[in-house]
Order: sequence, then structure tokens, then C-alpha cells
Amino acid sequence: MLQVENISVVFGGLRAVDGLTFDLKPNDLLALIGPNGAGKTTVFNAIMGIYPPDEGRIVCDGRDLKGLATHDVARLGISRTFQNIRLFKQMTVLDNVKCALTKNYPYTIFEAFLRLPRCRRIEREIDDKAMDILKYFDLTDAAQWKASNLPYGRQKHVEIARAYATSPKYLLLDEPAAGLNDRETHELLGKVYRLLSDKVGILLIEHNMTFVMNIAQRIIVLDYGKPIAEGTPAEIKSNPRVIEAYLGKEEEVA
Amino acid sequence: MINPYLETIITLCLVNVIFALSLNLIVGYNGQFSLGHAGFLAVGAYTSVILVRDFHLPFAAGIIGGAVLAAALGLLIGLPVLRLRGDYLAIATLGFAEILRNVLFVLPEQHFGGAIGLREYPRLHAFFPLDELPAADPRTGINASLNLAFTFVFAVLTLVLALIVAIWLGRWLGGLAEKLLAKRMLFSPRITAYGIWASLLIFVIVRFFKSFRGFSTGMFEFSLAFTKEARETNQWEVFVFLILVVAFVTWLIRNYLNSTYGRAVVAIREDEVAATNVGLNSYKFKTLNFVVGTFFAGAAGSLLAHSIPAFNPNEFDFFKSVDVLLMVVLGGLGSISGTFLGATALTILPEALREFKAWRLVIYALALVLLMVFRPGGILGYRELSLPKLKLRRRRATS
Repeated sequence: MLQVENISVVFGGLRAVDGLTFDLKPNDLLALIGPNGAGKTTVFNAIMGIYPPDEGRIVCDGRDLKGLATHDVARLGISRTFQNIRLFKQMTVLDNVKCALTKNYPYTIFEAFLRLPRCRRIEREIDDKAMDILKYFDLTDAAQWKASNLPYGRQKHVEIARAYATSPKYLLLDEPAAGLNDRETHELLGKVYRLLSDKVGILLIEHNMTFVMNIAQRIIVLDYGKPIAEGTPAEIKSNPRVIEAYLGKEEEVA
Repeated sequence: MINPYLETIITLCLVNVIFALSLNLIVGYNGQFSLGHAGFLAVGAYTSVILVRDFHLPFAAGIIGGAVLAAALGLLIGLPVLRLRGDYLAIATLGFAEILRNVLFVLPEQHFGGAIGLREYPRLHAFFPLDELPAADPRTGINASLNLAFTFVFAVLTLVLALIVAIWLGRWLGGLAEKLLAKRMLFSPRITAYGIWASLLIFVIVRFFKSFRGFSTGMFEFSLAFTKEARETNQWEVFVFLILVVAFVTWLIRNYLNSTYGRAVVAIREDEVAATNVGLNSYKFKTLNFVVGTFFAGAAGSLLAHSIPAFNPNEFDFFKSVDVLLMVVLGGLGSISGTFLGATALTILPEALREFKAWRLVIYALALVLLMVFRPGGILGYRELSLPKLKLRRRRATS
């Protein structure tokens, strides 16, 4: 279980995240919504150790993430995608995924240089595993393409595939549906469902409300860093504070 | 035998390929900027000569010793500096190379040679003693036919190379003409630049054919290295040895780049934040890669030292570092075949342009400016030259 306990992230005088608490279980999908600048991506950065929280703590399967570097957090089984795609552009799609396959594939640098048997065997395993992952995300045909040559929608899929390749228990998706058309969004929905059935806990930031309402089990609404509402999609839809945050308050007519 | 001038150029080409490959690992594959790579070359050169001459160790110990010491110093610099982001590595390596050069002047002269530098040490030729070679048979006339055979082989190779270049050039110019016609932009500044390129190219081609006699004589001399006359020296062994070393180093580096280590290194170049988010320790891989790069630079230094008759600390100044950086940038960042191209071209070019005296610097500068504008990654930036790719492109062109 990924437990976020009352965390705050402070930049100078600005409380970008202010007293946020939630639990994320495997096989659970929690959506984080809120107006632009509400601090959603900062929550991701806090979890990954890029901006460690100034107050509160984050615990992953009983282990406090305090003081861990980003790559250590990733190795503990938390992985993320980015709002603006950050693929390894000059590399092939296959290599993008292979980059993330390091955790269970150890060999020394000397074995790498001389291509000794163990290295060759493990490299074969990595190849097979990467192709499996690409198949899972319908990217087999694009395996040898340079990542930057893929259309935008498929680049998003490659990014999720790369995050999935680290075999995460918790996956943080930052606006996966942004910029996708209806058909691509639909495909993405199917893949997210499959990830959930694979016992991956998903924390989702998304502005596409149809997408969120379709898939989220629980939603937390952030506004100016503060959680203002939490509940099921139905509860959130009718919550007056949420409507106020998004649309503004109705002036009382005198 | 080949004349010593040509021999030195060929040897330097081979050594520079290794040196440039080692820098390309750091600059091209990992995106870290190093401005003092000549310092590590110096470490390799001095260590190797001292090990072989003063400690009477075998040559292999010289190469490995030089490489290991260079790598150790690389680790020493990399550990503190690579924690920082930005171009601190360039400043630190530049400082290291300059300090090292100045320290070499004042180290004990009986071992380090001071300002005069080192000379009269065992050279590569000495490692292949002649008396162990089988004597050539003077009666059979094999030598003459060998001459003919090798000259023929080189002629064919030259022809094939010229054909490939001509086909590429033709396709490129054809594509360009099509684009121009489509866009009606014959007089744009871009086209003017292309025009300069083209006239430069024509100029070079004309010069090439004018000097073809010289070129073919050179090739003939090269072929002589493999024949009886060469048996009286041992150029042949030295060349084969160096070619084998280059091949071995290339194989090692290719293996490294195709492993989890190499992929991590390239991923960090592409996007460091994304790389750490998939669990790659960027500090660890940057340092490791820097150490690997300095290791091979040390090995290149050792080979260089034993290929030339003498050297002094000033051989390894800032301009040597810039030279190798130019080889990497011109040939292609992140490309092994590009490095071969860049290192060979920039070793031969200054010699070929010697008669233009100061003008060669202008030609250099012009070529670099054009390269920056049209191919910021170098001639073969982030790509490799390979036969399957050529075939693929042809198929795509025909379909």
C-alpha cells in the first residue's frame, strides 16, 4: 500500500501541496483532479523524491520514502509518466522499454564488455521481456522505430509501456489522455483496465472528465494545494465545493 | 616499404580512432562535455613508456597500466564533478589537463624528461622482432604478384568507395533539385550555402583527381608493406597489430553500448529526469561511463607513445583536446562509424591541405560552420553506417 500522510510541499511562501492524505492499494485507481496549478503534478514529484515533502511522510509498503533518491523510489516499485512526453527520443521504441528493464537483470560491466555467456543470456531475456511488453501495449510493429517518429498518441503508449517495464506496483499517470482523440482515449482506457487487473495501483491526474468519471474508483479534488473533496465519481460530481473551484461561486443576488 | 611519413599518418589514424572513440563515449553517448581529454592521453603515454622502459615490463603491461591509471584519475575527477549538473565536467577536465601538463615539466627528469619530454624508448616495431620471421623466398617471384594483387585489391576498393560516394551524392543532389523545383526557392540563403558547399566539393574533387597519381602511388606503397621488401622492416606487423587493437576496442565498446550499461548511458543523455524515473542511477552511470572513456583514452595514449619517436608535455595541450573533440563532433556524436570517419579525416586532412598553408584553417572553419548549420550532430550523428540500412533505403525509394 502506498500511503501519503498529510504531506505539504512548500516553495518559498507558496504551499504547492498542503495537507494531502490518501492511500493507494494495488488494484485501485485513485484520480487526482483540480484546476490548473492546483499542485497535482507536485504530488507526483513529491512521491518520486524530486521535491521531497516538507511536512508529512510517504510510505510505500511499510518503507518510508524519506531521503530516497528518485531512482531508488523507482526501484521500490513506483513508476510514473510525464505530462509532456519525455521519451528517449533518439532511441528505438524497443530500446526505450529495454532501458527500464534493469532491476531483475544483473550482470557486471566486465561481462558486458566481453559479452560473456551470462550477459548474452540475460540480454536475450531482456529482449523477450521487452517484446512481451510491447505486445501488451500493441506496439510490436513500431519496435524498431525511432521513438520521436511515432505519432503523439502512440508516444504516450510507449511512455506507459516504459513505466510498466519497471514492473511497478504503483503507477502514476500524469494526464495520459491529454491530446488524444476519442478512439485513442478509448484504447488507453482498455489498457488502464488491463493494468488494474494486473494488480497495479494507479494514481491518475487527468483533465478529461469523461475519462476520469469512467474509470476512477475514488477521486480527490485539489485546489490551491488543499484537498477540498474526496469520494466516488458520483459524489464528486454533485459536490458544491468542487463546482465552485472549477466554475467559480455564484454571486448572491441582492 | 612505405615511406616513414605515410607510415606515421596511417598509425596516427588508427590511434586517433581509439582516442576519438573514447571521447565519443563521454560526449556523444552520454552528453557530458569534456575539454581535457588530452590529459588522459598524456597519462597513458607517460605511464606506458615508464613501465616499459624503466621497469622493463612487457608492452601489454604498458597499455593496461596506462589505461588503468588514466581510469583511476578519471574516477577521481568524475566522482565529485559528475554530481553536479551542467558543464562543470568541461571546466574540471580542462583544469586537470593543464595542471597535469605543467606538473610533467617539473617531475624528475631522468624518468619524465621535463620540457624535452621522452625519447629513445622501445617503439612498437621493437615488439615484433624480425629474426623470428620466416624469410621470403627470392626465387618464386611471389612478391611481384603480391604487389599486383594488393594494388588490384586497393584499386577495386577505391572504385567501390568512389561509386558509393557518387551514388549518395547523386541521390542527395537529385532530392535537393526536386525540393528546389517544388518550392521555387532557387535564390534563398539556404541555397546559396548549398552552392558554396557544392563548389567546395567540386574543388576538392578536382584536386583529388589532380593528385590521383600521388594517391595511387601512396596506395601502391601501402601494398608494398605486405611484401618482401617490408619483411626487412616490420611495418606489416605493426599495422596488423594496431588494426587488431582498433577492432578489439570497437568490439568492446559496441558490446558495452548494447548492454544495460550502454542503454542507461544513452538514456541519461536523452532525458536525465526520465532516466532516473525508470530507476537508473544517473550519477553512477555517468561516473562509470566517464571512467570507461578515460580508460580507453589511456590505452590510446600508450599506443600513441610507442608509435612516435618522441613526445613532450606540450604535445598534450588544450589544442590536442580540441582536435579530438572536432573529430567526434565532425564525424558524428553518438556514432561509432562516424568516429572512424572523423578521426581518419581530421588526421589526413591537415596533411592533405598542407600546401594551402594558412588557408586550410579557413577551409576548416568554413566546413565546421556549414556542419553546424546543416548537421548539428556531425556527419553521421546518432546513426551508424551499415549495409542493411543502404538496402532498406533503396527499397523504400523504389516502392
